[in-house]
Amino acid sequence: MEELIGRLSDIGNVFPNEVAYDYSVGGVIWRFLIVLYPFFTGLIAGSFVVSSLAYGLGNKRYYKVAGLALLLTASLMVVPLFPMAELKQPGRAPEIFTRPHLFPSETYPGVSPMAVFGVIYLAYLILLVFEVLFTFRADMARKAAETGRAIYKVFSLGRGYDEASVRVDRAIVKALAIIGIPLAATFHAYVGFLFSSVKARILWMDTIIPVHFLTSAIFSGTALVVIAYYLAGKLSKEGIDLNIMKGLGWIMLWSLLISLGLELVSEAARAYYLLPAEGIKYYEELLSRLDVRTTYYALSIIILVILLIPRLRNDVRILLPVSVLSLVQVAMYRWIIIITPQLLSRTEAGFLHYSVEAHEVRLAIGIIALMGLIFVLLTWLFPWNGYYATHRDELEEVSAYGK
Amino acid sequence: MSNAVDETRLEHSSSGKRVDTKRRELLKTVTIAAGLMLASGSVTVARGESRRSRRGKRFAMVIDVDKCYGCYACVVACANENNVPVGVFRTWIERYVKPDGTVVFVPKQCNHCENPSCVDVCPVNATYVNEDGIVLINDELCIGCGACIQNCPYGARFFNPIKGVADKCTFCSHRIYQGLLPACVEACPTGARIFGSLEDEESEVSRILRTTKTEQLKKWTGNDPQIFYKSLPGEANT
Repeated sequence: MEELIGRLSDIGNVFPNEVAYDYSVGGVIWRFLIVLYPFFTGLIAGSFVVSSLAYGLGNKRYYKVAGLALLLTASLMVVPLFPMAELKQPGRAPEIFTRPHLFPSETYPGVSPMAVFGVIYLAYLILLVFEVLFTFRADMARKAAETGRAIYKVFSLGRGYDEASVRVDRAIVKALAIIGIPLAATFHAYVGFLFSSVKARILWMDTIIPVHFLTSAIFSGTALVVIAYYLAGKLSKEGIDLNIMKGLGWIMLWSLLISLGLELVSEAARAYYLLPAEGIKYYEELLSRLDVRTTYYALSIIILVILLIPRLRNDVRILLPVSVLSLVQVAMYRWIIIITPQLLSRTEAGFLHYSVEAHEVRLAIGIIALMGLIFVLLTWLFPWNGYYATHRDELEEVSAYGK
Repeated sequence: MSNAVDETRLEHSSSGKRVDTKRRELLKTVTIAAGLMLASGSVTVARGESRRSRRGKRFAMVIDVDKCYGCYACVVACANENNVPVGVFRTWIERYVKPDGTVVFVPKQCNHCENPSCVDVCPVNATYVNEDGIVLINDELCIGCGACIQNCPYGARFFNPIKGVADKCTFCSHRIYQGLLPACVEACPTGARIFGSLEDEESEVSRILRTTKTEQLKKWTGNDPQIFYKSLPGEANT
């Protein structure tokens, strides 16, 4: 309480419920774990797009990483644990599936954007399960034939790896990969819509957020595929195809350019719509308090300059650390989008305060470790570099391997 | 009240015009366009409509800022009546100092909006509008996601630190259906808070709304609050 009184002049005019009982962590409602949620759904969308470039759109260059990117996507699908851990009643989390507020009525007017989660998540999860099964089915059938193990037989779905079967698999995977692109985009972009639909927060009133989420998702997802491919390539002694890295660097460059462009537009628009009100004064004061924002822009410029120079972009030893930095940059962007607008009180004349708590960090580490564990399990079970999952051109040769 | 005046003025101006064939065509196009806008969810128009069909008794409150002298009796009565934990508030009083040095006290609470943005966003149907327009929360259903707290432009909602669910003013629904007044209204020594039904044309609230200039908070949100302020200072409109 004394701390609160001491900082009153710093705070300005805020609602009492905003600084209420938990002043030590401030009045921010959606916190660190909610920052990580769109960060990881972004990785899901981005890495899925990379895999769909090969499986769906038939881009031969990315065939070698497509399976890995797909497994990466699948292993991140425990992402709803982040918002679930943030709930005040985590035990009631499944009720978002059983009792979604999707249909307006007199008693329950409106449609909740958050309730759409259940529909999109389930649809996307089912699609991913089938896509993983059919992408690796032929490789599993071959393993079953070679080793005779029951588990491989189960995943071969009772069929062999003759040409006809592989052709059917590929047709299914192609359809799923193409349907999956809009679904993955929606799964991620609707999180951005969750924020831009909150009319009580003036800094969230920005329709660019969902679009910008998507472009930065492709950026961070590709960066994650670069890191995973590098590690997987080294660990499996498969080696790294520099041509793929070149392509991934190219995707990163363009998605970063578009994201930064969108960001400039939204900053400029904000300067105009906040002008008539006192808002801009408070907004500028808010910005001057934020180190994370300055760091973010510095980092963005460094990454952009490196990616713009072809010699640096095409060098794996440079692209790899740049990819790690890119993940940090996108995570910072998510922080700026989610935490900063909540630091400006809804009175638009006062400031709140937020610092990450230890238990939030522990929860985040736990969930990220779980994702890592699932990824290791999936790459151990499914051969990411399996013949049928990574080869497209030599379909004619398939018959040579067939039974 | 000012809304009603605007609407009548609009009607006069449109009915006084002579409409020829060309204009009729134009009018038709405009009507279709307006219809399309309505269908696609043009917020202002669609929400203006709902004002005319008020819910049931449509309980409302008038707060006369001139009469409030900041004794906090309503805040204490509310906390006592509703077992509100220390540190959070179902109602509170804001203090403003005018440039001439006069102190103004503005009591605030949940506005029980006609178009509550908090109810719109609840993902699990835990918060709802009852038949008389009171916005309530079902403690058994709330998952504690914070969407409603985030979407309330008035800061009226909060996490109840004891129950672990969203909480806010209920207009003392347990009292008013017994024929009693809300605790804050009953406790106010100066009669700054006036509570009543808008359905009843003769209630004091309806009478004041008919005869006096009142203001709603943050009108631009389209929430249509049902707490009406008399002599509200501009800076308190948050």
